[in-house]
Amino acid sequence: MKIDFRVTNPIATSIPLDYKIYKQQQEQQKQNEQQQTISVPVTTTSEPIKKRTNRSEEQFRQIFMKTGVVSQASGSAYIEIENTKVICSVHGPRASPKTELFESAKFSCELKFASFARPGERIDYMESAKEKDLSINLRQSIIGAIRLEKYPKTVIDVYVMVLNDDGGVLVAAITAASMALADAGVEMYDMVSACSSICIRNQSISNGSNGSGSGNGSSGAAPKVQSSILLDPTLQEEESKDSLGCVVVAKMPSLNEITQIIQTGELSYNNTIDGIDLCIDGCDKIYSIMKQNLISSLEKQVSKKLE
Amino acid sequence: MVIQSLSPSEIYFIQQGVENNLRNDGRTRLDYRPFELDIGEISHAVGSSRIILADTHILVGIKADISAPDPLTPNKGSLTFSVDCCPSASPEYEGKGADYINIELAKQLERVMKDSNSMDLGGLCIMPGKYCWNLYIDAIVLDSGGNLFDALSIGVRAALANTRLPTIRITQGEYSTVDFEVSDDPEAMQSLDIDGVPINVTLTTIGNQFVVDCSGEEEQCMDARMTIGVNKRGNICGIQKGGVAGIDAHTINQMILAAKQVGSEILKTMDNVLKDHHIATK
Amino acid sequence: MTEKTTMTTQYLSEININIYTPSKRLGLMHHRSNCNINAGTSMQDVDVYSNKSNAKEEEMYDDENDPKTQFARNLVTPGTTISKEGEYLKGHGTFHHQGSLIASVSGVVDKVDKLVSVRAFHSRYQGEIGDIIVGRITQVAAKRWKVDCNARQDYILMLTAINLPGGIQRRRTSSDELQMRNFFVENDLIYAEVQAINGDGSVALHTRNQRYGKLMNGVLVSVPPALIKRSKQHAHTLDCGVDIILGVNGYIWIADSAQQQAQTQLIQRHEKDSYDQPLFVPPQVKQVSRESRQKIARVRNAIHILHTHYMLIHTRSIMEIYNMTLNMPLTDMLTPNKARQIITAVHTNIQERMGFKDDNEENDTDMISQFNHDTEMND
Repeated sequence: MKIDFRVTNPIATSIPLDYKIYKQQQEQQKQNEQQQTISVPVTTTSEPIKKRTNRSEEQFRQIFMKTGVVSQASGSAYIEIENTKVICSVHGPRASPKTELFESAKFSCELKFASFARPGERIDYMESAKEKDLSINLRQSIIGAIRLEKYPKTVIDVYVMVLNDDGGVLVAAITAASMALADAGVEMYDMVSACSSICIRNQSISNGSNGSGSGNGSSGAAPKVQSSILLDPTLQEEESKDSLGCVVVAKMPSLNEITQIIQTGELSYNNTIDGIDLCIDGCDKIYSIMKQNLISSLEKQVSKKLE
Repeated sequence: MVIQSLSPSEIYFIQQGVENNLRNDGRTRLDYRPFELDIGEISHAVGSSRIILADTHILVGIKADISAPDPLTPNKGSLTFSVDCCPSASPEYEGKGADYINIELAKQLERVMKDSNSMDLGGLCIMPGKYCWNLYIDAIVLDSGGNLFDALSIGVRAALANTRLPTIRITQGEYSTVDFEVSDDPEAMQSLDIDGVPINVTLTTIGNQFVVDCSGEEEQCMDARMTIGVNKRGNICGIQKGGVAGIDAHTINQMILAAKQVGSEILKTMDNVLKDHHIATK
Repeated sequence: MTEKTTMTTQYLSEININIYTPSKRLGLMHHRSNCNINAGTSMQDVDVYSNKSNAKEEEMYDDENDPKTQFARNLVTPGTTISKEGEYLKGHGTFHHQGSLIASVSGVVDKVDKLVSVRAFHSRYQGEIGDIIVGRITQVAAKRWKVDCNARQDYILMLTAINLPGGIQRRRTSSDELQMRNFFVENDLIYAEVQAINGDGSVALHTRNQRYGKLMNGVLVSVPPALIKRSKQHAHTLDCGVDIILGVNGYIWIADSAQQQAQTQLIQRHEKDSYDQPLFVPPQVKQVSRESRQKIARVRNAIHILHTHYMLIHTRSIMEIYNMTLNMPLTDMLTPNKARQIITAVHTNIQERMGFKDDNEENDTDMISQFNHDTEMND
């Protein structure tokens, strides 16, 4: 089919084709680069993965959890996974302004990044597509655990604020939201715990010194890539160029049901299954930590009342 | 066609059918409905396709422009996805009603096609660090009959196969500047390599079993959904779960395996037909 | 741990890829069959690119075969002048303008004695008293249910218009009103008849008959109402053992005969013995065997083929396609190419039978004369 490209499809360019302006831009860019060497490193994507020093490949980072941190909310929780800091508050179940008859509660989740949360530029307050996507994923992870039919004609809102992003934001958000809902006294089938893992390309391919590498790469015509799976990645590991893909799993451990699974990147079938299995084990371990924290905070509340 | 909610006995009927491996229209659990692809219908777009999968009707158009590449990936072009569900597909998509589902669909496409790095974006680079092609992929859902995720990805893949970009000639100008010229010749155009482009395979659990390519009424009885991106190499390019219910780990393994098998079948058939019609040059 | 299940079925039967070329523009309406030969009083294929003259030829042919009816079949579009004012009485779909009678919808002109009306092809279903319909409950309101019947408005089913269990005839009390949900809930399918059309245009239904009531354990298919003609009987048991109800509003209900019979017996027994307790249907009665499911799927696919090719839907056309496709796997019926082949075969069958009509005028077994007979009875 003949297309007269000139008339109907002008190619838009954003680079001026005038020589002088182009030269000026070049000089400006060089100046900016010189200034930027003083500021904080902008991004981590082009760097290779740093080998883990303080923990093994299948070990979590240190987790700190506390509930009841926001006085105005029905329930709240604060989670720190080393440098990732997330706070979650739950409002509801409360009456909705709309008089529609819902047979079950209306459940909505909102996740926001603080402007200073990520390395690099300041995050605009307008909701970006990434935040909307994380909100949707968060909602889908927890909605299966809440007994919505117990609260007809009400609205339950979950607000998550990410104060510092060092990898595992969705994991922290899901865990915080479950704790906050339990703190608020909302009826649930089980708490939801989440875990993430990434599959990385090993640097030392030839000597076979791949540590605890598990699973080989794709089959068929593609060359075999030695890969290994890391649990609970940091931001640097998640965004490095050696990362082949990432898996996030959210699970209700007592019922043994997976409520959310997200995988990005291109992974072979075996790597995917290994990643999912590792995450499922991780979820169970995080669940026990969640339970301990909840019970200790309940004990504190009871002891306060007795005073 | 408006998809109505179903009565409990209809839901039970469909669930029993799925258990018996015989769905309402006679398909087995892993059968796909036949679909039609119309390619190259939109002359103003560099690539376009239309997919009709039973009642689902989607139009995909691709536009291109040139700009500087992302400084983090100087050798690659970029893709931008957007999906728009028209109110014609369902009255609930009017106004802001479709916002949620538009983002979900666009994000899943982005996750599977862009984030997985499965597609070779190096072919979109004109001059490393200076110029590259940006493709804007826009999909319109005109009618919905279930299984939007899969239909969108197949439509986008076909549109990418149909994409023809003008060849660029790079010239050395005065004062050692490097300039480029867009060729005017409508015959000399380059096409894209769609070998690495994955497609989505959506599996929905109904009762204790899962099915591929659910119709509109089956979507009303679904418990949970897993959308899995599969490419020609047999690798998994993106998974997202939807729906309220949970799935146990064993079923997830089976679903991923089934998606891999169904996905590679579809990709094989699609590539053969595209080749026969000389749409894909490879 | 993952067991590989043997998948003996094929995943895809076929992909159709059409390449756009200007000469193929007409072919874009690929779902409609190109042959416009439909028997008797069936609707013409409203293909935008087809000529009106084609349609007129069919009509004249039909006229010769229907000397009894006074129908002059003319296709009109909005704005076409039908006749001069004063010649005829103005019916639905027409209006007076500057001394002439003009059509306001696109459709077939019906002239009955002195009344002229235009019957549209694609209009919403409009209920008439005595129509048998299949509807879906949308709302449980005060002393009534609102039913969606593919019409302009939801139809009303009054609490007083249903049969109480046990066949008791008594006044409905307030406790009946509180227990409305025991009868019908939202999204239930019901089989009812149009009782009356009120002054404000709202339509009332009733289920005051043993055979009317809630429909369970089957499949609902939705088609345009124009494809189903009013006839003496709407609930049929096909030869293959499948029950179908052709609702005049375009909703068709398909179920397994044996299972429905067992279900009805259970419900009748329940009403006699324990009508104050909620109805519980045990799984054995709800069960539909695999063979029956295949039959139901085949009937459903047959209806779908008739729907996409805009042919009249009735037991004979369904059974024609059913018998023709008995040896075909069910999934083949879904592909557009096979569907087109089936329709062409059906058309040739009809043509053959039309050819023999003059010889066996007394013989009422062929489709066309039966159509005329039926429509005469109801018009």
